[in-house]
Amino acid sequence: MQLSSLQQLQASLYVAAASEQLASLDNYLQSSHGINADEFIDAWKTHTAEMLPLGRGEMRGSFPAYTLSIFWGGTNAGNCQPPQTGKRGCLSQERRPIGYNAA
Amino acid sequence: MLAMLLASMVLMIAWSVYLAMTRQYALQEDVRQFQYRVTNAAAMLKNEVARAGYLGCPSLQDGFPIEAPAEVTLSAATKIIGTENQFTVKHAAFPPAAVLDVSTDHTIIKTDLGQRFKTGQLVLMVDCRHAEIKRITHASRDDPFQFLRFDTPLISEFDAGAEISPLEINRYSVTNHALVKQAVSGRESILIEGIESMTLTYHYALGKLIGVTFKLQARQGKQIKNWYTYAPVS
Repeated sequence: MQLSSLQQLQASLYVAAASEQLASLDNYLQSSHGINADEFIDAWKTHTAEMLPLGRGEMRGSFPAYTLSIFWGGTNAGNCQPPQTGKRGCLSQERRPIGYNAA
Repeated sequence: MLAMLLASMVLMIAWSVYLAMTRQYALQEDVRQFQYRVTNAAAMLKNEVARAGYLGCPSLQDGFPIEAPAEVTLSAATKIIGTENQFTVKHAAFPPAAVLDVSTDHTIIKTDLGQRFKTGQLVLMVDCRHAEIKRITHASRDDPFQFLRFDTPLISEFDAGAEISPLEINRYSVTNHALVKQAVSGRESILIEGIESMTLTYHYALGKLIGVTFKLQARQGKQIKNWYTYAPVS
C-alpha cells in the first residue's frame, strides 16, 4: 500500500511536469507567433529530458497548427491517444486554429 | 529457548517493516514537498510576469503617456527588468480605488476606499488616455473617503472616475533557500521555502520581450532537481 502510494505520488509529479512543459512550449509559440522557435524547442527538449525519467518532447507541425507531446518512462507511442498518466506515460496538446488550412 | 528465538525473529521482522515504512513515508514526503515547492513557485512567478505593466483601463504600449517623478520609470520596455538570477516587475495593484474629486490646485484628491493608501506610498493614477505616478506626501481617512495630498500638482488632468492604485515594484530572487519578494518599501516576504536557485532566460521577438523561462532548483530528498517553466509577458 505504501509503495503504491509513493508510485501514485511520483506519477502525479510526472503528470505535473509534463503539463508544465506542454504549457511552456504552447505559451511560447503563442507569444512569439513561432518566431525563433527552433532555439526554444531545442532547450525545451533538453528540459523535458531533465524533468522526466526518459523524458522526450515532440512537436509535430508548425505554428499556428501543431501538436505537442511529452513522453516519459519509456513510452514512445506515436500519437499519445489516449493520454497515459502513470509511471510511464504521455500527454499531448493540439492546436488547430478555426479555418486554418495548412495547404 | 525456542520461544525466545521465535519472539526475537518476530521483533526483528516488525522492526524491519517499521524501518521500511518510515523510509517510504520519507520518500513520499520528499516527492510531495518538491512538487509543492516548484509548482507553487512557478505559478507565482508566471502570475507576476503576466501582471507586469498592468495599469488598469489602458494597456501599457510603447509611447503610452505616463508622467512620473525622476526616481521611477515605467514603460513597456521597463515593466520587467532583471538579470540571470533576479527580476523586478512593475504594475498597478488591484483593485484600484476610484478618484471622486480633484482639488482645484491639483494637489489633493479624494478617493473611495477601494484601496487603503499610506503616506509616502507611490501611486499610479490612470484613465484610459494617460497615467501619472506620484508619491503621497500625506494620506488621511474620513470614512467613506480618503484624501491624498501631493507636494506638487498633478501634471495630467484626471476627472472623477479615474482610477488610483499603489504602484507595486517587486523584486524576486532566491535568498537563503527561499523564493523572496522584496517590495518597493524594502519589505521582504518569503514566498516559498526550499527553492535552492532560480535562473532566468529572457526571450525576445522583433526586439520585444515576450517571455521568461525560469529554471528553479529544489531539493527532493538528497537530490537537487530542476523544474522549468515559461512565463509569457502580456
